[in-house]
Amino acid sequence: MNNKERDIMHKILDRDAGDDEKKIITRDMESDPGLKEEFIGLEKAVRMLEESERLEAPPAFTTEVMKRLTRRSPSVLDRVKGFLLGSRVLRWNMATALAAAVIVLVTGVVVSRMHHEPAEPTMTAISVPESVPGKPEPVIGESTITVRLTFHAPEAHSVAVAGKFNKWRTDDEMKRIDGKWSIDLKLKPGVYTYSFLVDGKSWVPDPGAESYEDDGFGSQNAVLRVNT
Amino acid sequence: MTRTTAVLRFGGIALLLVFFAAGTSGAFGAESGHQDAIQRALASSTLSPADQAVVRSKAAAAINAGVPAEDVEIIVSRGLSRGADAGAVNRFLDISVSAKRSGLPVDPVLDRIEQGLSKGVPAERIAAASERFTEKLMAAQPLVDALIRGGMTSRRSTEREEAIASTARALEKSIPPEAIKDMGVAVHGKQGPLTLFTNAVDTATYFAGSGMSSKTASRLVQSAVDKGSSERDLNAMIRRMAEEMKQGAKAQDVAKKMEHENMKDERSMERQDMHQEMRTDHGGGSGPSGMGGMGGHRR
Repeated sequence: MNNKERDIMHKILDRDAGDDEKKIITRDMESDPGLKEEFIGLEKAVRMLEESERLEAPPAFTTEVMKRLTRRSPSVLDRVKGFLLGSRVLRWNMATALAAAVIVLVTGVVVSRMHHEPAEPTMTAISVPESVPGKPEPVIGESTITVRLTFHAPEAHSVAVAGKFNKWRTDDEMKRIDGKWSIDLKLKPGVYTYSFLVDGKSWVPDPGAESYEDDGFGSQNAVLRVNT
Repeated sequence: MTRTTAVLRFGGIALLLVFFAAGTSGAFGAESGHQDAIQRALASSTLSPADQAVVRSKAAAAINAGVPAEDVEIIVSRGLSRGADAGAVNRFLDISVSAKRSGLPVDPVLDRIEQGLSKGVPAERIAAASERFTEKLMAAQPLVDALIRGGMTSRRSTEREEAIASTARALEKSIPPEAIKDMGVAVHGKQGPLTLFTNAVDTATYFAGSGMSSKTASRLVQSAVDKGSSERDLNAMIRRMAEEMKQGAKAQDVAKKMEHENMKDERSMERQDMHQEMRTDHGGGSGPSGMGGMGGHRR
């Protein structure tokens, strides 16, 4: 039996078939006893359904059936799965929607701003050993390292240190002790370029630096590597 | 929705908003502080109100583009206090925004502008140097990204930006991109991290800056990496170069000496390898420890 014959059979049973279709199925049934048998069976079933008495279900039918079903308590995993993956309908009102929108907006703004405003490094109380001229001395704290820079310039009236670590501000004045200028810097691990500003006019790369780098303007900066 | 659910829901939302407000007040406070400082710097400058308005709007645009507010403030206030005109300040801000929008590390560009202003370099030279450096960063970015894509490891998120900045400085020193690539391949071959690559590039840049030809500088560093040098070893090479140059040696002569030493080391290692192979050939299989080298000489 093909799909076309099946469609025509259902049309005949629903009393929707035309004469041509009835002719086709009669002809096919003559050549196919199986088809004829199926059609007769279906006809009988339709007749039985039409003749049977229609009973109304009692109003509490569904509730009663559900009550009799044994209740299986779901496992913890099923509950988690159901919570995470189960489809649900969320009921919104304008207040909730507005509050959610505010949260999303504030989060977006905060994330974008925080990306550009790095938090201040934690300063930890540490002891700094006696200095050695010209050699940066790392002292390890918890998240920053204190580095002492020294510079021998007995003739100078003021010496400031400026570099990548202080965005080249020239107000980090070094202290003078017996003709040696000294400053302690709390730095995170990394590579820093810096120079000393002597008497507010001459830029001098640290003579005791490990290495130097072109500053891009025809002079050199000292390079300080702070390792953990 | 029951009364309890409603109270819980709205209470929770209110609490979240309070947390967000508390967490963000610091960041907003810091930023508004910088904006106030920009405002003050403009107000106390000799710029015309029209020029002030243009700089103010450029500064706001830079902050919105993601340039840190602190740096924008430094560029504006330091620029104006050093006598830069509105056009120069605007140009500095434009360069920073352009670097940021191109996805380049903006810190080294800002560092150059801020440094130039601090050192009293003329505005035109600062702008030209910063623009040139931005171009080098653009050329450096794909080189570093190719290494990362190739599997070179990095521990911190800032390492990529540091590697790009170092590569840009190397390109500034005329170290050829092919030589930088070769250094990357050598580091990768030794399964070295991105920091070793950055260190190698910095070392080559330092050598080139000391008067060595860029070709010699990169060849010297590459052979050191091939030999298995660590970051500490590379730093030692820089220290040695600095030390010898302080004593009057020329960079090119120190390079020759280092290359000669490298070759000696390589020959010595080759001899050791050959010797080891001969011992293995003669004594292979003479003991479970694989130390059966004496087997061939047994009488």
